[in-house]
Amino acid sequence: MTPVLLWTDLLLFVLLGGIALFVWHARRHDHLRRPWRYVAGSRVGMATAVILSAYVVIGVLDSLHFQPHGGKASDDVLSLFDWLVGDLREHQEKTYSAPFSAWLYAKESIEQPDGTIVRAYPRLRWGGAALRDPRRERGADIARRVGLGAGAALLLLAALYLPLAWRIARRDGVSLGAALHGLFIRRRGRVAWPAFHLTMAVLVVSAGVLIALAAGYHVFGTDKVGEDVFYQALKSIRTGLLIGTLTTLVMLPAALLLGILAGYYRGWIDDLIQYLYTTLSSIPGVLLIAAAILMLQVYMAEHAAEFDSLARRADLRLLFLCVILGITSWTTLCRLLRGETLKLRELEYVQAARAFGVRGPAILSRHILPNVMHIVLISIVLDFSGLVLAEAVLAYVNIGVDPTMNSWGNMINSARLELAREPIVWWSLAAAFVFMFVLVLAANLFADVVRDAFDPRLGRGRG
Amino acid sequence: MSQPLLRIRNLQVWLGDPRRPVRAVDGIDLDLYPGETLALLGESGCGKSMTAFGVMRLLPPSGRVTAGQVLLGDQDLLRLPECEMRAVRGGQLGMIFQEPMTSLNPVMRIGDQIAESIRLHDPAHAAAPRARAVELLDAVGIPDPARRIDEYPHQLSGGMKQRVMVAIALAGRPRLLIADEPTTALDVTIQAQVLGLLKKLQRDHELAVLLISHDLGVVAETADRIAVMYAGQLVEVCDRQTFFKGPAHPYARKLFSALPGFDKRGRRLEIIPGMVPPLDTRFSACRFADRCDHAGEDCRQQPPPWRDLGNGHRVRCLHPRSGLVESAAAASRGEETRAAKTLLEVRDLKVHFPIHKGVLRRVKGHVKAVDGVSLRIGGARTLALVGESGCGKTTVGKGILRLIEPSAGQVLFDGEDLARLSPRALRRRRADMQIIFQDPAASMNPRMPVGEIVAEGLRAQGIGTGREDRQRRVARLLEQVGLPADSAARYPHEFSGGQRQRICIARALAVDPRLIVCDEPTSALDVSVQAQILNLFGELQQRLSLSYLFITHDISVVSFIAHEVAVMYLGRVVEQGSVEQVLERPAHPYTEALLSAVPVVDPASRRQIIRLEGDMPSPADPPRGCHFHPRCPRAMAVCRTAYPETTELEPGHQAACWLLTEKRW
Repeated sequence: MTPVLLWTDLLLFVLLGGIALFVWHARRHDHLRRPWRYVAGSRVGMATAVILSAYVVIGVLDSLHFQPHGGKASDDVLSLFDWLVGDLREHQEKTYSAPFSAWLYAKESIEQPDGTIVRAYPRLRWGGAALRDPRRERGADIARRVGLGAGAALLLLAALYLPLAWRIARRDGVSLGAALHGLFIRRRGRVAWPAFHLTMAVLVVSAGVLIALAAGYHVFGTDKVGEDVFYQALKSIRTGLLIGTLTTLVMLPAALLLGILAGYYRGWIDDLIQYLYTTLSSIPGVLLIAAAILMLQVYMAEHAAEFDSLARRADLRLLFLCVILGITSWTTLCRLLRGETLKLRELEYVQAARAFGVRGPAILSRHILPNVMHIVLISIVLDFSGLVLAEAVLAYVNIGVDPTMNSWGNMINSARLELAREPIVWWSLAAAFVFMFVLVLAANLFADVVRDAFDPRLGRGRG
Repeated sequence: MSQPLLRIRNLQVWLGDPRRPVRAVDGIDLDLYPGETLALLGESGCGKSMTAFGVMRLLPPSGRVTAGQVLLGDQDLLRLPECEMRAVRGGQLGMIFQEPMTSLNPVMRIGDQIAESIRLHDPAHAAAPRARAVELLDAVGIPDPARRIDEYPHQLSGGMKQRVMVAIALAGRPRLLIADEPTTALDVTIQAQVLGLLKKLQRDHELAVLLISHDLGVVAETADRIAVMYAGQLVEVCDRQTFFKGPAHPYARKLFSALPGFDKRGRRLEIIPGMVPPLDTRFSACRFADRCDHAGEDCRQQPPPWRDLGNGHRVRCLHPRSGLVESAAAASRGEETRAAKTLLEVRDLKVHFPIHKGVLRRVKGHVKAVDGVSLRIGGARTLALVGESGCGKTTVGKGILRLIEPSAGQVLFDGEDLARLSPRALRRRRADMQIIFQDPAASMNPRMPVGEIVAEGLRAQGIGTGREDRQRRVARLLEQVGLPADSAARYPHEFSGGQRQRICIARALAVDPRLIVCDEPTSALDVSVQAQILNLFGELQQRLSLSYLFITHDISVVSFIAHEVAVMYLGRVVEQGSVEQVLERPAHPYTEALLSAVPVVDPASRRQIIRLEGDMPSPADPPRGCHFHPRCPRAMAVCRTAYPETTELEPGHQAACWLLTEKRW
């Protein structure tokens, strides 16, 4: 087994490292901690943070790549997540099958034991395979699995929370019930822990149920080539997260630097930067992306030897997409930062610094940068959901991520052809929709809380 | 006296968290009679605006009236349903706010804004509001109202906007006008116009006016009766004569003695120790006891009851005083410093901002913010630069420090021309001159702890060796300005306004400057806090031989702190001389008008106010000839043709006016 480090993995870890550094830095500065305390005190903030973390955990697990058979060119690149879900990846059917179905979605000629051939819906190889008569047994089996999964999840929760509640009860001298009540319902102190614990519990229970069901059925059905859609949707999480975060990472330095330079120095620097971003934002973004992706494809076709595996090719295309999306989207933030800097440079503390003879770069880094960071943060969080959605749109016009890569965009794109079928194949679309919707909704709600926390006019972040 | 028009009974307004409410207004009783001006006097945060909002039922979302009655005639306003209250608000009750810039809708013509109020509250004119609007604009003294009615707010000056606000308030034919700091945002000459207008309207319409103000001068000029507020309560109510002859409450007396003035020069101003107690505490004693010089044991045991001193004079104090307020034997600030050798000489300084127009952004003229200013400041002396907003005084200060690049002229600091220094040499020179701004909150980076803010100059100038040495210096500086040593680790928002200004002073002192440009350093502060800061300026000047260029519009501060005065009008100095020469024997008509417009606290010394008409013209397009002639009551033919030469009246006293040149001819 050899570990494999893809480009996007590397950047993701750099990003996580950066976030960890920021957290460590923020812990020591009161003014940086205050808005986050507001986020932690908001129920919506806590609940969405739990959901987002669940996505992030799956995304990170899916970013730890390795080759199980020691780095031969033919060897598949797998991720820790693939390894964890085990069979789900290999439970491949022949073609479409509906969620929880035990039969294929297309009739086939089946040879009966007595030698006759009938055209019928054949049984699936994995979905409901354990049942002898699915028509009668399936309902009970599903119920049994739901119960089992939920029970296991509840046991796990009890194992986690009962000792905690017991310790709280002992410490505060209250009954166990009261301690549990305090953990899940009644909020004490400034952090909205009940929202956190409740969301956690809901998440764990639904995960338990899904795991139990996925072991015996295709929860979201299978796609054209018979792959489990639930597995695809889970694999797409990494793609969505990377598009949403790496793009920002790519554009941030340029937007930040150029924005505050233009705003602080004015004059010809300002003219130049404004000219640059006005020109850039006048080019239709889709056109630029299409051209860039085409160029990359040509390059990869000509240098096929450099890309030894499918995963590396797909990864490079993903990275390239992030870069090109970043290049087309930095102008908005840059413009915003320029405006804010224009305002800040006239403020008296900047003037006072100039009166002390503080040099330009020092003013920028000590006075301007910390005071525009809230804008940067708010726009990162707000942009995230937009970028996740943009990926789906780009895949739809075939200039998104590599077609072999799992992404919600690709799922929707392939499902679109089947919408015309009678009866309709709806589950790919539905799965992509559910997963994207939950992520984007959580991200948007979280962004709202963050925006409120950092908005000085609301004065709430001060508390 | 007749029936009171407005009776406030035990009004209580609470703000914020119900478990720990801020009792912004804690039981107020007031009567207001028709035709009377009642001034509600108090420092910021004492609850005077909340009282007004409580009466109008315009409290912020977190505020609520928890008890009391507000009776307008026989009607309890607090019990009216909102739909009926809407008819009262803007109808019988008119309101004028502090900031005329933000009280008018910028995208509506002023005529339409007045008409809106007429339609709602004046049924007789509702059908044809335009004629009535013109009438109202005329009544508030806006020239050419028939043309002005179709203008937008941005086409009017600040004073005009406030007049329009008054017109809107009058449109509802109110019986009571609530004016919340109506002139605080205006210049003195404009303030005099607006106050005069309010007085006239009150006489014409039998209006009752509830004037909310922090300015003793404004109150002295306009109020019939005065109610002093402190920490959410009224502490003294009486008529004007009694109040200005000698208030009874120690707090009110302290306010008088904290006022700067000519007679207190060279001494320390009296200050009120400590701070206003937070209003979320439950009081069981006199709220002022901890800061009072006369408080006894009894003051700390029970809240003082109202005491009637006769003639409607009531005071909430166990030990009321009487008689004129003597500026008590405050410690002398010591010898006046003698004129020393010149530290800074400014010769013909000009700061012009180009105006770009058209597609090609060609320069089409200049805003002549500063147009040939010459000044001289001696070592350890204070030069006050006086003028109304927009006259260019702040630009002079920034031009001297080269925070704004001067267009022409010389700035000689110790004989070296700052305007021609290379950036590198200038950066070293910056240690010698510092600046302190008006708004201490805006002049500190909110994301830096105080220690780092103060150390900014040390770092930039490379003073001190290493971190610890700098920390020691910062601690010493903070102590020097009277702040606790542990302030260094805290953030600016944790301090009060006065403390913040002290931090700014400490920061400026860090690099051992010889000159400090003080740009209105006390105008955002309350009188009692202003006194502390002015005292600090005085002490530091003595101890460190500092020179100040003190930019201000407040004449009483000038007379207290300055040695020399220069009066600016539209980018030029019109008169300068020693403080006695300029304030006692003003030679320029503008100086005369400016001085006469300043509201004076002492009712005995009330002088004839020279009312200046109109506003200061734009510096982009100054009038031909003498800049002041369109507003000058004594303008002559020659004033329209050429700018007057500067005339030396006495040694050191100069003015630029044709009247003076004429005399000598």
